[in-house]
Amino acid sequence: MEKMLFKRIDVPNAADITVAEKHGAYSQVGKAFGIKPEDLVNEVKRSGLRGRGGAGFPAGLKWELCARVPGDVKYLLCNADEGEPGTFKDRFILEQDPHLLIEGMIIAGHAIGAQQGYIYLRAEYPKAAGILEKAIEQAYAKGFLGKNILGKGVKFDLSVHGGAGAYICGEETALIESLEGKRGQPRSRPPFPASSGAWRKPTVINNVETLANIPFIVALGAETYAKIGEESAPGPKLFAVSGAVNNPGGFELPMGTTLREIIYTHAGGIKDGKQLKAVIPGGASTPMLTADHLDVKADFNSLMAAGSMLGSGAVIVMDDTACMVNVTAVLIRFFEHESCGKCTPCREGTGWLYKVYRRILSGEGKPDDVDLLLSICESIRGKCFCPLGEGAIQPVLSSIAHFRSDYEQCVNGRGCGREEQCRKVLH
Amino acid sequence: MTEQSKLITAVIDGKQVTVAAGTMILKAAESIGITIPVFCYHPRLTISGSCRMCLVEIEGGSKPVTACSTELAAGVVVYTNTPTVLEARREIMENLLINHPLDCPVCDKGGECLLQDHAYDWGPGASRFTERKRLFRKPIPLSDRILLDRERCILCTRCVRFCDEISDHRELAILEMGGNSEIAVAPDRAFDSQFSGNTVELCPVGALTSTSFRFKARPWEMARLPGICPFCGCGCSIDIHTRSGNIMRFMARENPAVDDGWLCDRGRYGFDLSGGSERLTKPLVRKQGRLVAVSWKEAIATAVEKLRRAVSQYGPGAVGGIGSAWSSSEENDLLQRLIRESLESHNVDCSLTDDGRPAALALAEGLGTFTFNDIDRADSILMIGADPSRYQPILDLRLKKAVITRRTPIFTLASTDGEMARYARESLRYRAGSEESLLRLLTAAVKKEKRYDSFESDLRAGGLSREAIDRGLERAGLGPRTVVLVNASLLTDDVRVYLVKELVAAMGAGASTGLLFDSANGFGARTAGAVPGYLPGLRPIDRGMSGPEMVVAAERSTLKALYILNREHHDSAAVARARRGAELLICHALFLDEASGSGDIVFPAASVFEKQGTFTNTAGLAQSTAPVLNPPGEARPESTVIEEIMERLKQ
Ligand SMILES: Cc1cc2nc3c(=O)[nH]c(=O)nc-3n(C[C@H](O)[C@H](O)[C@H](O)COP(=O)(O)O)c2cc1C
Ligand code: SF4
Ligand code: FES
Repeated sequence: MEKMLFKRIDVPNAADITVAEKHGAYSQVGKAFGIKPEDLVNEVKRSGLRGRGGAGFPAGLKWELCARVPGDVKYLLCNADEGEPGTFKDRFILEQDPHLLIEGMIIAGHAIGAQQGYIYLRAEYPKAAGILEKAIEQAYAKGFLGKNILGKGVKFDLSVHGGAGAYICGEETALIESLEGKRGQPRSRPPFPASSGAWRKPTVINNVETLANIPFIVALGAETYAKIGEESAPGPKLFAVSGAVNNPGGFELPMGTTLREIIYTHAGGIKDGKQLKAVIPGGASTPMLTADHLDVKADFNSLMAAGSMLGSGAVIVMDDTACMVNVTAVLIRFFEHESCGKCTPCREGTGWLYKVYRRILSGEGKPDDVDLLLSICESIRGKCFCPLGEGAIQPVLSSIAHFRSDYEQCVNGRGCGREEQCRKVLH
Repeated sequence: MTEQSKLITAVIDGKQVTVAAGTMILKAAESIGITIPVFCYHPRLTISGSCRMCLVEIEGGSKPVTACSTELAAGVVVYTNTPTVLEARREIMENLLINHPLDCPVCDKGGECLLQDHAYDWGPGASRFTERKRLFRKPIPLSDRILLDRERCILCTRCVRFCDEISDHRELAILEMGGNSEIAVAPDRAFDSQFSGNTVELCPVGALTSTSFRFKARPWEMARLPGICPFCGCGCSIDIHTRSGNIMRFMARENPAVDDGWLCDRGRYGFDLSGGSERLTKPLVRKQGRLVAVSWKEAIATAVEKLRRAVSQYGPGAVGGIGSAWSSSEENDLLQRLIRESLESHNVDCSLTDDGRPAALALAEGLGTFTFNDIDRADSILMIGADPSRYQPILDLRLKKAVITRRTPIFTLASTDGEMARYARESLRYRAGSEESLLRLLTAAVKKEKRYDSFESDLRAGGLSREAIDRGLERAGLGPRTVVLVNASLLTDDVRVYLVKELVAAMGAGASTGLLFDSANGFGARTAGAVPGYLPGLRPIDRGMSGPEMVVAAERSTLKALYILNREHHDSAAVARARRGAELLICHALFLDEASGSGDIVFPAASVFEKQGTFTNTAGLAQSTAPVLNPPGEARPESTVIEEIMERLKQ
């Protein structure tokens, strides 16, 4: 497949607007402005593009919901919080090809009727912040942003809003609260952002990668675009592969590429000639899979059917020396730390899970602990205010489901010979 | 849309329920008698949906939903008692309790704690949590009045929401995140809201306590009696909690016509009237220059004899009586009857420092018709010299509610700083003393009259102009339901009263006027006739001296005898001045201080909590209270004493 999202990724200095333009950036703005907003929304609907932030919500439908709400003031937010552990796909675009994102946002703004956009940027991406600021400045200078874009009377302003360093702020309603200057905590839905989002105005919030697809949908047309990848989720997909592989990194592949191909063909296979033990296909909050699942296609529906999720496309690979109790404990530490504290099950439940893991790793596990962990997960499952808690229990549930023997070794006093190492993990 | 089409029908626990579309499941269930346990939900705060205690099941749903924040959809079937729901409650309770100290034996909330009650009803019998609990230093003061035990807190955010949404003082916040979250005074703020005590009452657990009640009593030891807060002109409904003859605390008792279920701190924490002093328990009579304790019989006989002698020696005009805007209407009525009927004098008022008559005239002229609920419906609000945030605090909350929830425009005109100016579309300052010109100018502006030169210069000096007033009226947008709130103490003479009347008339028929009294019964003292020139029911009668005139006359010894009700609420300096020339000073007092100690006869009075009485709040709402305590020693309600004196004077 010819590269789309990563088209300019290897072009030196593509963050500079003249270089980017030479390689096609902003070429679709004029075309898009020639299309009526509602037709543009329909085009995206027909393209079948699904959100790349994790949930896979159809982008066109989201746009339509917002576009239909009457009102002059609407907002377009780009979710560049990229907080899901293992995820670093958006970063490539943000740092190497910011103009692709900006172009996508200009077109999206036109489609939904938003004249103001914000890029909510992960606090830990200071480099991207500088690059984006400069790119936006250049886009203004060239007339791609501002009051009268390309002289066509279209207005779109864009700025970068630095995040505050909390995972929860990647959740769309918490992101909005944070953008508004409030404590980053999720809001009740409904109302959904499409009807009442930033400053209670109709708002579309899309992931960086989702928005980066827009210029290609305009360029190719929905029909041609829809032929890429999977029918149920067309388009290219970015995968960020990390862990026990020879060639970790970001890959643009058609949606639906199998895990095996991602890991063995593109990421160079397992390091040091070891075997794959587990793979987390979509970031820390998606259930782990095993070597038995390597032929599952990495797309929303196929991974769902296999008991996991595409999530953010962050593929984390573990080899056969990894202890799943250990791995999960580290993930739970993350979720316990990042639980915003708003709702009871997530706040208390993740803390409890964390304390149990810490005890198990310090050598004081009891045989009942495995069932206790499952039962704490049950007390969180389906009861939280936002999806964070639900995500937090996935590593626990899936690691116990697939690797219960790892746990039993720990809690039955049999040991695995690496106890000294484990003691240090959570301290 | 017709009313009918806005109704939807669904089924909860097998019972059909019909409610307005948009009603949350919790409320719909409540309407058919089904209770769903809650922590974070509070009917007067916005919905948080965070504690997750109220989970219920909807048939066909993939997971339980929160009843407090999920609208009941037409045709759905909801269950509040399935095994899934009960299990969810059990799980939420277990999670809430893992870090809770379970220190119920030493917790003030014990016995009236939602966490205890829900744990009892829905919690697991035992906890499986064997790890270390989260610990905090305890308690930490949030203010001089309010303490926080963080480890008891369940982070329901009721307290934070109160400060954000109701008092709008935004003084509390959550710091940190996740399991480390804690309630705290917001950075760079102080928790000095005049409504802070409401957070203690809202707190469903024992996390927030007040210094005045902490470790003082267990809830079940106290008797609870309904009462009316006696500390300002609002007359909020309260529950008075007493134990062995002492008031332990006030709690709010919701009255939608007055307080919306909130109290201000002055009311909530004002119940200790003693300030550490000893109460008067015996009648005192001056003998050879010294006050000595005597029997009631002797005290009353002395009063009767001396009053009679004063009248016969100097004539009725040499006798005067002072009721009190802080005493009940019954007491004020008896006081004016004693003076007018028994002693045949016209010298009656309710204050030593202000003429009570003009405000009575205002009431007689049909001003003072507003109700607190008018604020909820007002098109706009015009405030003249009023500072409810300080003097009628509960009204402040109602005004804020109108501004916050309905964007009701307010136009304030005041001579001093007041909190409401921040909520006003326009707020103007005038120079104290220029009220008359101000009222003329306002009326001219409302009537769009051009002639106003005569008082313009006066106003200019006060920093006001017709243009500014026009702008204010324009921004506030006077409508048929404008409410005009006037500080009653600005009504110092009849001219001002008529000017207010003219102003309100110019606004149109629907406008209502509130006279804001800062005293508990400023309204009722007037309608009870304890003012010059008015009998009960505001029937006119010959006008005698006003309070300030009586003080001057007494000082000059033209007024010989002065009878004072409710000594503690009168200006001590005025009492001292009157004393200088008066031959006879009789007062009812709670304490023996310099002023009451200067009297010739001092009757030990019953406090407002020790007697029956009716108080009319600043919105004209008459409310009766019953005694919750017995007067100490031989102290007696004033009414019984006056009645007895009147009886004797007849003989
Ligand atoms: C706890 C949590 C964290 C999230 N973090 C991110 C994130 O970092 N980036 C992102 O694009 N979406 C994130 N999401 C998903 C967003 O809520 C939202 O679904 C997404 O931004 C929508 O964009 P899309 O439709 O283009 O995928 C997160 C969701 C949750 C519950
Ligand atoms: S202090 Fe009380 S009211 Fe405030 S959040 Fe904690 S439990 Fe709720
Ligand atoms: S009462 Fe519904 S979530 Fe707290």
